[in-house]
Amino acid sequence: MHGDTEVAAAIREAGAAGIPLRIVGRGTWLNAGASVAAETTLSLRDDAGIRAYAPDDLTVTARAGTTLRELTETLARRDQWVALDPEGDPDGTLGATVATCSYGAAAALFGTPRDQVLGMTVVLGNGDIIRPGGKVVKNVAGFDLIRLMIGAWGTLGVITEITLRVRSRAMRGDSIAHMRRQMPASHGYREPVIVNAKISNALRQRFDPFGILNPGIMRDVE
Amino acid sequence: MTTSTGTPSLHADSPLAREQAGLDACVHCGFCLQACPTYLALEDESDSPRGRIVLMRALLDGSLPASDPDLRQHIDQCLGCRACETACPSGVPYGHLLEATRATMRGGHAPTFASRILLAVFAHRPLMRFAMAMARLLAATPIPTLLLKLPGRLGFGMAMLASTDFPLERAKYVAHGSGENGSAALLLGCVMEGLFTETNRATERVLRRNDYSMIAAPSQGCCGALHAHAGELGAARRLAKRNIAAFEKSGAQYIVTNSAGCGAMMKEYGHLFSGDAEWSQRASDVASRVRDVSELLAAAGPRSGGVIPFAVAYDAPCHLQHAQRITEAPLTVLRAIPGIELVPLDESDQCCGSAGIYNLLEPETSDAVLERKLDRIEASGAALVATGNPGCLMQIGGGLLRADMRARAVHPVDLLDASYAAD
Amino acid sequence: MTEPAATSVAEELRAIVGDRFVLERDAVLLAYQSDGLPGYHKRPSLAVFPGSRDETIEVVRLLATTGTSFVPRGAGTGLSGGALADDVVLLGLHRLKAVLDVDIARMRATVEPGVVNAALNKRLARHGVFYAPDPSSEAACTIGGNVAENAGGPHCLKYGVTLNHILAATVLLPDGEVMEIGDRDGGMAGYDLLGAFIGSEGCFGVALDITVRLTRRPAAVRTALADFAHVADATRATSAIIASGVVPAALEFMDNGTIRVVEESIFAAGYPIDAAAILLIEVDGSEESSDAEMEVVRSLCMESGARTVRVATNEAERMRLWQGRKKAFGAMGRLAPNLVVQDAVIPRTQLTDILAQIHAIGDSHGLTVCNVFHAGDGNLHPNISYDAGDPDQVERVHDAMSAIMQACITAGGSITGEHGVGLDKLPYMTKLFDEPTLAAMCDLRNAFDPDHRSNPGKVVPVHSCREWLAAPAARAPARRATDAR
Repeated sequence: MHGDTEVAAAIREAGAAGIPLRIVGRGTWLNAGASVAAETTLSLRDDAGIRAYAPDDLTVTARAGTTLRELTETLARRDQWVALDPEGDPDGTLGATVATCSYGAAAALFGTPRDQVLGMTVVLGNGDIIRPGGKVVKNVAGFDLIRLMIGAWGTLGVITEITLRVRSRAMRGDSIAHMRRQMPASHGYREPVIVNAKISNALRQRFDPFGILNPGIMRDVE
Repeated sequence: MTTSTGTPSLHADSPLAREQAGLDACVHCGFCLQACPTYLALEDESDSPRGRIVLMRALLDGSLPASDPDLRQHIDQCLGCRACETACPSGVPYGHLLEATRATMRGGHAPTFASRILLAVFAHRPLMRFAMAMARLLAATPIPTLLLKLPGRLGFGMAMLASTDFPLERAKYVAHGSGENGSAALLLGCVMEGLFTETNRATERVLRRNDYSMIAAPSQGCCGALHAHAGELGAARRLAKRNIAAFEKSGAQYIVTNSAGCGAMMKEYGHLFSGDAEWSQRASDVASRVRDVSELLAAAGPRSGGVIPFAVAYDAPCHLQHAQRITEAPLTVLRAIPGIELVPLDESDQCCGSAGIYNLLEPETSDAVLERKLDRIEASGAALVATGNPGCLMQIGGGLLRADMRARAVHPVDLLDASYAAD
Repeated sequence: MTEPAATSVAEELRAIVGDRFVLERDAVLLAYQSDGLPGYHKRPSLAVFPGSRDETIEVVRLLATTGTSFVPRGAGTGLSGGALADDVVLLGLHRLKAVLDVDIARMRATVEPGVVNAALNKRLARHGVFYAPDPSSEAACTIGGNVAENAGGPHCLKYGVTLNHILAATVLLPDGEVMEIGDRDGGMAGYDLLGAFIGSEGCFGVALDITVRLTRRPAAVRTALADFAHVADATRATSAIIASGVVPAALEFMDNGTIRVVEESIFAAGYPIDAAAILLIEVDGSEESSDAEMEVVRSLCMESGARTVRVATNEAERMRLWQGRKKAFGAMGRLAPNLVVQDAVIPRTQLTDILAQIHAIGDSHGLTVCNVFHAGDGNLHPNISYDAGDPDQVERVHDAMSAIMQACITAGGSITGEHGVGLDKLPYMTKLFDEPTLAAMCDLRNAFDPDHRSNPGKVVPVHSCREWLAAPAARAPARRATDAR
């Protein structure tokens, strides 16, 4: 897959035909304990690359298939980084990290992916391409579709592009040590379960009206 | 976008119309809300400075008549403590707005019967002297102490009287001083001279001890503060003129008061006569010489005395803290007294609910505000609460007695005086 | 709504909360017709102030049964017209002000929505911890309102906004159902409904309680005032500091107009009144790191052309520097009877250019624009003082504000960084987002409040919703709420 319109076309086609899709990045990571009930795969591994990098604004925009390795190497050249360090292969994708809200040790000081994303492009289950957020570090315009998509495991839409908050490596550890927060674990991800069923199911019906996005991955616990 | 200020439809001569600029300064930011004792107690914005200013605007633009009962209720329920002025970034002159609003509303409705009687007594020296003499006689009997638990205003009045009894021993001493810090004439004050006579004498002693010479200003009277707060600006001006003449005649360098409410009023005599060709300058001159006793004492040191071993909390009278913006001087006085442990009092900048005659006219709100104050005093662990205003002394003092609390209210000057006596 | 129906709702509300806390008469509703942005006035049909969690639930369930719309309100200090109720019920939550739990071991506190931001921090102070988000209205605004707006503040540059400091909430949905969202222990499971709720501007229901994350106070704080003769020098210093890798706790900009207004107020902070701009810069952390970072900040400011950099030497001086900044907005009341303030955000590298554009826009409209803002994260607050009694001026102000917004959007920015969309920025939403994105926002709202009964007509223009596009006539009652009076 390459580009938003191609992803949107594929999703629209699958929706019309009622064909469930398994959304993957490089497919190297966890399966979160539940298998996806889909034969067809929508892979974003080739939809990769850094689209915009503004070191002085401390923001970077990359396609979902970009590997964390590539992102890290690019930013390191300007002595910068993004606070994303999920457990596992650095060749995992940015899209998967954000879609699962996977985090590592950095989260204790900087928060999880939920605290790093400034904007994104998402293709919804009806084929709509949406662009919530933006490229600025502070933004409360409109309802927060970004937080909704982070950790939704692709079930509310397929994330194709992400703008992130960038940090300087020169930041001194002892100026932020007091900000350390208690995390439930040193690494993890947002559990793909259905809680608050009434709202969650309403969201799924609205954002994935044909039920084709990673069906089966969100477990029912209630 | 719609307008937030309408064209004034009240007569341009109404006191409120003349304060239009003060009303316009409010940008509705709401920073005053948490500073307002009645908002905290009543939880309705119409009982907050921001809400009352909206009501004032409605009165000014004619969308509410002066007789509107809601308007009257919320304006009447204001303590006039002016804590909002200290919180206001725009510098809204709330105290002036309130007085002008009350004066404007009097055109539509007379003040309550009770307030008219009270204000009339304050305005007439023979009546005031008689009332105070009666109160003193009563205070000297055990009756107030016996009756202070009675419900309602009667019980509270008794508690207030009972609280005027000074909790420490008053030893006599002769105050010597060089007089080199200047001459001062004491504003005797209606309630201070009537019920806190000894505090007035103590004030004269501690000032002499700190090298001020004391001069009498015999024909002085009520400062007019209560009348101005109630919107009776005519009566307030009459009383002010008498005092201006009296203090001019005294020739004293300073006019000193130990009553924060009277001091705040006298410092604003200039504003009271603004636009009055004959009196404006004289009023401003007198106002510029007015000092709270704590200012003069702090400027002089003050001299140190004997040990007074008590935990003391300072509660700022609104008319000292917010109207006169005097915060440090009373603390400087207290810190100069050996043995005093100054304990922090949460919300010491908040009104106690006394507010002149408010506690007699709006008992329910006043009680709600006082209750919060007593809770904070209890938490402070203080044995004495120092506050430099007769209304606050009796409100807090009476409240402490009725609540069976151990602490007592005292004037800071009395503590300094006791310290000198113990030296 | 017909008159008798409203009356009977009022009677039932009185039975729940008591007579004193249901307001219906014109005079007593006046105080509730505006929030902190007084250019807008809307009269609620009535106002109701529940005094407890249970009363709140009863009230909202009653409103649900009768199909009545309502607008939640905290302290009414918002700057977007978000808490205005246009002929619907105003639901004041300011009486719910209990701090329910402070758990220092787990670094969290649970509060009712009406708890005032500064009151919470006053209570936390003795434990050496604080709740980080510090909107300038902290002395009056409520935590519930902060959650609704995803409030920011000067120190969000380092500490993050409200979103980053809320662990969980108990939410009362508009249909009366009570729901727990988030996880007090910091766990993450299911869709991030908490993240969606924060910043939903009262459109998704109300919070009954909120569990906030506490942060340890840094061991040291250094606050500096840098004084510049040219605006461009101050913005260059800002860029240099951000690029250096030092992350200040706060980095605030004030221009000459703002400095003068503050210095005339009782919060006069000793700012140099002849400066074209000043930066208020704070760093914190350990003693050593703070000194080292302040040294970096100082030399970057001097290199960028600062005339002086003064570091506060004691806490009183530091607080004085901050008071001036925090009360700057209110102090604008000195200039003219009315005030508009915007909240656009731009990429930080565009600051110099945008400030020049704002200045030019002010000039061409014959208006003075004062700027006081969070330079560190590019969050602008252009203020224009004006006289609403002058229709020509009102029109020029409106045009100038639109031009400023358009310039910020063109620069790749956003229309609001922390004040919210409310009523005020509704017209700009369609300039910032395309139709599918706005429709998706409607869908998100519909999951929480399918009937749009909670704060109707705010945030997303109703004509952006799929249902509206499909059947405009069916949504007619909802449209009324967005119409200007």
